[in-house]
Amino acid sequence: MRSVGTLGIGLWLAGPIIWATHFIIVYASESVACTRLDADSHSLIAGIATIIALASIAFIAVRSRAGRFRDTAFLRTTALTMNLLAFLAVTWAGIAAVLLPSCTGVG
Amino acid sequence: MNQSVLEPNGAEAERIADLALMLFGGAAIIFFGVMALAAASVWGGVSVRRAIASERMIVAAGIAFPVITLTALLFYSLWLMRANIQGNATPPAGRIEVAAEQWWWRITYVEPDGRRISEANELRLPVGREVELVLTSPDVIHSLWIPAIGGKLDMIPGRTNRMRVSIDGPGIYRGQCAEYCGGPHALMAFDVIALEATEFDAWVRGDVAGGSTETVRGRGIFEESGCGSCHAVRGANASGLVGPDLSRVGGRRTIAAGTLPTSRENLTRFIVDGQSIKPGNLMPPFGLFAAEDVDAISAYLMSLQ
Amino acid sequence: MTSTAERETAELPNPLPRPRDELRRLQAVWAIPEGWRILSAVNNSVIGYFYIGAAFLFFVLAGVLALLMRVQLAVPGNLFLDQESYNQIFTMHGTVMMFLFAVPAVEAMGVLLLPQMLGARDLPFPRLGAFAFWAYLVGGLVFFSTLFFDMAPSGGWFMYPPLTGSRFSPGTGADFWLLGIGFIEISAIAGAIEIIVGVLRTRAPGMSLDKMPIFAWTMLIFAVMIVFAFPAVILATMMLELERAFDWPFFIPDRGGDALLWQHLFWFFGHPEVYIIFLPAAGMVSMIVPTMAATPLVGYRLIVVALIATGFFSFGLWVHHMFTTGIPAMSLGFFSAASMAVSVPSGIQVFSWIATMAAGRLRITAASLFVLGFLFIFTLGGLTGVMVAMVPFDWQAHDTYFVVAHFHYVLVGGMVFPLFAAFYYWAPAFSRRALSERLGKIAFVLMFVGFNIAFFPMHIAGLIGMPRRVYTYPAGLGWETPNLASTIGAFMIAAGVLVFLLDLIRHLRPTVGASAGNVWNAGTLEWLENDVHAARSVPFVESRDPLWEDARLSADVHKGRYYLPGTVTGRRETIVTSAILAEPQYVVRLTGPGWAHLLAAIFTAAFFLLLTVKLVTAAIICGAVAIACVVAWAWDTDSPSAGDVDIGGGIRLPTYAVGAASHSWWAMIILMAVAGALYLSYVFSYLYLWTVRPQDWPPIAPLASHAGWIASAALLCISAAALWASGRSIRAAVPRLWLTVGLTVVGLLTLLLGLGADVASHWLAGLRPQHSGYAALVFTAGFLQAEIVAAVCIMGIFACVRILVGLTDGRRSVVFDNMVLLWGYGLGQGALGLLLTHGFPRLGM
Repeated sequence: MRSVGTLGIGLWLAGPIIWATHFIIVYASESVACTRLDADSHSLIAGIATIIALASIAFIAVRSRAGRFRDTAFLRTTALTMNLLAFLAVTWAGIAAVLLPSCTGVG
Repeated sequence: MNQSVLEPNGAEAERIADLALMLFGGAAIIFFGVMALAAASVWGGVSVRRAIASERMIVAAGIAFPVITLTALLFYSLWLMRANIQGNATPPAGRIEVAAEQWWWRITYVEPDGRRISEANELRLPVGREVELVLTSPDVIHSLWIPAIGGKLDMIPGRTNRMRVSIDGPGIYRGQCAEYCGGPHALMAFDVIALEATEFDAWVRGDVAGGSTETVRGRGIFEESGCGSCHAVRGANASGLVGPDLSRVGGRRTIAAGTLPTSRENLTRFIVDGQSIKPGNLMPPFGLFAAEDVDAISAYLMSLQ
Repeated sequence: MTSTAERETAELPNPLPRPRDELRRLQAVWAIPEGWRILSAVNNSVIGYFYIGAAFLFFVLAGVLALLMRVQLAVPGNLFLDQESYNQIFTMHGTVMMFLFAVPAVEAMGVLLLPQMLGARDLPFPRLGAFAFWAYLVGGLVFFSTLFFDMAPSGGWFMYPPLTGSRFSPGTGADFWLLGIGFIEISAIAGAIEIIVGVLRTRAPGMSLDKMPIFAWTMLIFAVMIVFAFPAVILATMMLELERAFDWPFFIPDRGGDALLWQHLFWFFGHPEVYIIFLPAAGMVSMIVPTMAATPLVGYRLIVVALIATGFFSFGLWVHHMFTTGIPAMSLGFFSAASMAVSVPSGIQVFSWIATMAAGRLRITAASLFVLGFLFIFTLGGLTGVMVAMVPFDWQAHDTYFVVAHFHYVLVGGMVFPLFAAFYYWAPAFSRRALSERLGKIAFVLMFVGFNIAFFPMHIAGLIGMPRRVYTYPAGLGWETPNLASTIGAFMIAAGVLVFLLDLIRHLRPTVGASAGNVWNAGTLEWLENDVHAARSVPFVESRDPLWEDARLSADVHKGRYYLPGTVTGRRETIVTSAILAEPQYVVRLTGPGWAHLLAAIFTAAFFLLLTVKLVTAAIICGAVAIACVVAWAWDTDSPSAGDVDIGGGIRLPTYAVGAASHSWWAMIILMAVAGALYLSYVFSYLYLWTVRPQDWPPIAPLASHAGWIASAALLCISAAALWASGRSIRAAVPRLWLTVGLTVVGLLTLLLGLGADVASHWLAGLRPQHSGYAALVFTAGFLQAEIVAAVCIMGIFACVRILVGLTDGRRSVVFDNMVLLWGYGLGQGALGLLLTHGFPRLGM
């Protein structure tokens, strides 16, 4: 194992961090969009956020596999697996955002 | 009487019961599979254990399999939620307002012409007609739950929640407050009586059948003692809004929000010593009455149907 | 591995004989105070023992409460307990189990095990750890005893307002909950800071993160999760107490508050809490299974990933508890998706343990049985967890006994069973005798069978309609049989716990120097021959199971052939290493026994508890005494450099560090993260209330004038300039200490005035916190800023006095540096507060 620095730790955790960011954006934008804007604008925001999040995870996973974590099997495989789990979690959240109408109660 | 998720009698409850059975079946298969794998890992032969002891097995059983199953489940659950939402697109055929208060249910039937009929602690529903329940609370958080008809929905002060219910066949079901609301939360239930639509309409619009000659004395004591400052009885000198409407209390199956079966004796007990039956309820005990006076009030209340 | 490390190992173990009195001197500096003075001890072995004992006491007490409830519910319409008693008991059962048993118990296991497991002599802040323990014990005992005076809270462990507001809960019970539990959470955070710094900075040389035992990983993630989750509930308890005491209407809907705000904050803490409890227990399992199967853990990397992923995903689940509140469908679907995501990592762990058992041959010991029982129960609980994550199913199951069954499967299965496995597994390391295998197996059978008899029928009771939190139920709904079964099962569990207690009495002989030793042939460092100073010397770690890799390691370590075989400064000390690679950086001298931290804990507890019963003057006096005690305790913690010292193996290390190398700097950064998380929870509350109650925002409410924020911002800028200048002056080539002190005083005063200008501007505009939820939140910003400013001022005065008496200067500057960090944080928080309370309403949205 070798030292990777603060940025390296950030990259190592990139998948979960992107998941969290995506989560906050979709959740917060629904709260705001449904009180201030309209439902359509939120579906759009959620869709775009999901695509960007998935693309970023895929990009970072490919890049860091070949780059910063190349020498260290521990960092490489753990980063890859975390990216995989985060990709799945963002996908699931995205599916919920796409399939359900915004700003509607269910009762 | 039925308060069971597993004996559904309404569209939503049926969908959820199907989901539940599917989940139980799937969970049972997975559970026994995992336990068999664990048993094999401890007591299995060398070749079996060698097959289990690999990272590939962890990835297959711990990532690949759950991802496939959970994705399928997520779609199914979202599809069920969509079914519920789409059901809400059409306007409801009736509206009933239910306000949960510590520790009883204020129920108001809103007629298509806007007329409002006050009731309490017993919800009557028309079979085959989709009704919207408008759920509110003036004090703390409660939750309306009638398992045979569908899931629960909270009643939150400052907010209004709406729930669609439709019931498949006539019958009697039980509902209960599902959010802890302090004190006698355990004693905050109600009956749901599903009637054929015509019968329901007749009941809602029906007159109060109280006031026979035998109960004139009871009615007199009821009115003079100030019962009407908290309770309302249509057609009598009683229009209080603090406690449950008593216009048809004698026709309900239970008193004190599902706590006791309705009877003359139980009404008397509750009036004299309600605090030992339902501790903390907001009606003060009326122990001052002479025994025959309370009995007369109870007889009068029993006649209100 | 770097080449320098290889060179170092080449010289170890050192075959030369050790000086004769080296061991005696080492033992002398680490000696445990004798007799009743043991109360002043701070060593992790002693405090760890006390800590686990106290947590177990609360487990038994809350278990007795559970038995009382089960007696009451055994038959319908039972009159054993009255309604109010039952409501208090179920509230206390949940509260005590969660806050006084579960979190402290795993924290205690961390305190007891981590230093030995990581090859450290002790945790990095021994007195802080002892303070956290004593505060918890005193606060917890007083809190529990409210039950005996009929003053216990009865609003449920989740404390939902408006029920817990002053209108519907006028007594002091809710105040005891809010202040008592808020206070114990602060103690948990203190412990978490110590654990994070301990895990990251005091590992044995060579133990890079990829060689760290899984238990240490779980404790690290546990502690980081506490740092981010607990502030949310601390803010919530603070706001509810402000509402109850001063009528700030955060949660009163008629006055612009919102009841669901509490639920968001509470569950933002409450859901991660489940994993906070579960992860360390899973970590224990990951230690026990490899030893009992005599093979290294299969899937170490996958488990690390699973732990980190759980740490993240568990923060995206809080609305999971609010599926029936009527919030929009998309939010429900969204949180349902996150609930599923979090179940994947748990699956990874379960299959890793199964793979490990298959890779070796599992010895069936009492500890193994508890682990197998855990697998059974936890798997079932996990599957019902997926069920309640399905939104439509949850509409039926929520708040019924199905959920009671589910979370007892997850928590008792996921935490209590592993904890008992851990007791049986680690007892030989901390007791002269191992516990009895026979009694252990009897206890296991009683607990396992009893648990399933008690809790499986609750699934059924819930599905046939039984709601939670009911003190009685009517006959005729089919609930009689499952309830009677649950009661019988509960008493079987109790019998199992009694057998365990009997085993403790007969076999547990606490010791820190003469333990039964490595009876299981385990591979990790806590099984080295330990004394109160942990191992005799600190080994160089080259693998995940060092005792298995190097058969001579144990003997060599014990003969002092590795690092730091004695005391090099004549004080208690441990090696501070780098966070990722564990390269030795410096030797830190640790504090020894004392009374100030103990008194500080007692008076802090007294401060909070006296506030509860509205004895304000007495409370303030106790608070002042507590602060004085903290100052007294902090006074001698910053020892000056003793020059470079030789720790063996050809390594010379400094004895003082500043900046990012200092372990103290790390603790301060984590404390700032706690404060930041608290403030972000506040920002969330402000914005959340704006989305539900925009009608209360300006222009309806009065808005402070421009002059207010301009004055406040200007003062903060002056303070920032003074901060910068004082930092430069203390490190100047020719330090002028009076100038440093002067600049610090000016900076602190302007920081204080900046806060004053902000609050005054709202007040002068006519806003009062009692007006509305909005107004209360505006003043909450000032309240939170006041807490930081007060802390910075106390630290500032402390630093200035030390500068003036010559104890702090440009080189020995940790005290000053820490103050500067928090000061800088305070400036940032103040600026954010201005943007939010003055800027946001002007956006005109």
